[in-house]
Amino acid sequence: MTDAMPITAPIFEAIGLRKSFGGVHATRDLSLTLELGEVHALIGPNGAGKTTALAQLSGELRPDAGSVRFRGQDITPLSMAARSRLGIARSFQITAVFEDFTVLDNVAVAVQSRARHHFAFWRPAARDRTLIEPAEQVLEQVGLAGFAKRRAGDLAHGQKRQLEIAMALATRPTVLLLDEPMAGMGRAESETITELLERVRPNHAILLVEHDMDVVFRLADRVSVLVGGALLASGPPEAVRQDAQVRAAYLEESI
Amino acid sequence: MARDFGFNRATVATAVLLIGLALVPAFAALFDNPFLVTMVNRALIFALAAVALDFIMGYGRMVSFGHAAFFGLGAYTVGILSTHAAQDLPLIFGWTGTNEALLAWLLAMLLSGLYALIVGLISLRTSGVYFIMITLAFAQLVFFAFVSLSQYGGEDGLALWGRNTLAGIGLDHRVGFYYLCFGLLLAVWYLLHRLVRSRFGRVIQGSRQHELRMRALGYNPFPYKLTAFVISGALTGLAGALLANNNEFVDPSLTSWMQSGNFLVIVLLGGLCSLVGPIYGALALLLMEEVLIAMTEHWQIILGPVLILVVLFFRGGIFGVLSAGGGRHD
Repeated sequence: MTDAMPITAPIFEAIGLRKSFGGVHATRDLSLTLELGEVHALIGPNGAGKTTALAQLSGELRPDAGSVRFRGQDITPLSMAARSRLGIARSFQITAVFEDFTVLDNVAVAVQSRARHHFAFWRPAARDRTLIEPAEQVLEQVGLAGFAKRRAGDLAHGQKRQLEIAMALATRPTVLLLDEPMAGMGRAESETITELLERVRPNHAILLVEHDMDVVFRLADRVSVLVGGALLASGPPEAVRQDAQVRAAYLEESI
Repeated sequence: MARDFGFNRATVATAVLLIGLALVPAFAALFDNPFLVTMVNRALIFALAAVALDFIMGYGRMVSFGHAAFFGLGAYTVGILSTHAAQDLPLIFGWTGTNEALLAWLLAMLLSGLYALIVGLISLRTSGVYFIMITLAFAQLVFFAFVSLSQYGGEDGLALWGRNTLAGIGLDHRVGFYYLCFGLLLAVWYLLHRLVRSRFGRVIQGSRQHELRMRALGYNPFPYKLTAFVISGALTGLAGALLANNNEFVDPSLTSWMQSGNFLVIVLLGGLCSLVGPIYGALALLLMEEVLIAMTEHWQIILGPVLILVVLFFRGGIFGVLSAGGGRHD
């Protein structure tokens, strides 16, 4: 690169986020970036503020200070729904599926969210090919194709986690904010999702909050370590793994 | 699964109910008991309101404790319009009201729907107990407004000069009016049946199950819930218009909180989130009233425990028991 300017801005960026609840500083001056084609892992011990950080990135929580930018645009004031429509999808740490719907319908509702309006009162959604076909494709991808007609509430825990990711993917996002997607999954399910994330990586920017270090070090291009609401270290996986501070604070027991 | 076999127990329970209702006038003629038609007719009208309530309560978890307001508004619209028409009294801008059902019932739905829009705009910003209390408060407002309307009878209510005419045809024929109400109930049921399965219905049901997830998917549930609430209010207003014709009398008790409670009881008794259940519920409540009132004036002493048992042990209500798969079939 001979041109010093302009440097391409990251597709998704958090700048100086701060959030406190009463006297507790849950997020302290947090800045991070996501690039297209990259998996950025956010790790840290329990209570480090990972979910709180993710809530501010997704729009569920408004930060006290700082900003969130998407494609160079300041999206800090936008609601979670508005961010989702821009292409910023999230999954939940605590499984959030529509228990009374079938597995297929869960994903179909996510597909439907990309349609321009939903004030369609007459045609049965269950027979709408424009919803079903994309939904079936996503279920295929996450390995739930055989469970399409099952009531979501009746799925095993690991399968609900897969559905959780399917719903996020079905909104055809650019940015994926995943909150411990593999938590509670069996080995095979976890492997399916790891492979899936590898496959979708090229055209997504992924933030991965995860406890499973095998998954983190296999997928991540960058790792950021959050401790007490602040970033302790950030960089390529190997560098972070060797970081003495990180080892002391967190990784010792898991590596 | 219903589609795979062509029918299942829920379909049978629905079909038996509808065929039974269609045959009521024949039974009444057979046993020379015209009162039966009038009695079931009343139940059909309450069922219409209860089906409309189930639409938002069962599918959208909007527990309205104020649906009597829409019921009463619909009834009073008919009552007031027909009073003016009968006496040739100017009501507004020199217009002397109407006795024509096509116009009066449409206005009843319009006014109830409009009131539902106002109530919904405020109450739907809350949920749970707050929603219940705000809908109740708005209904009490209507109740006291009608009580203070002395030119329309105030507390004593207002006797109609006769039933409406439908496109010029009188509605005094007992069986004719019964089938009209039955037809409207079927139409409303089918409309809502389609609605809950449409894309719109998906948003309503998704918001009931997990509103945060809906937001994460990019939905803003409020306008959808408001639309559903207005539809439900307008249809309850239609039920009120029918009741005014049935009774040829309207009074403020139509809008009382006990009336709102009746609708809730009918929905829970018949089966929440089924649309068909409330029809069973209305018939059951009416039947219990008829049977128990012969035993004791305080028949609700028995109704109370029955309702508690239903809620505790038969979540799907009567329809849930009949269809055995629970009230929530899809």
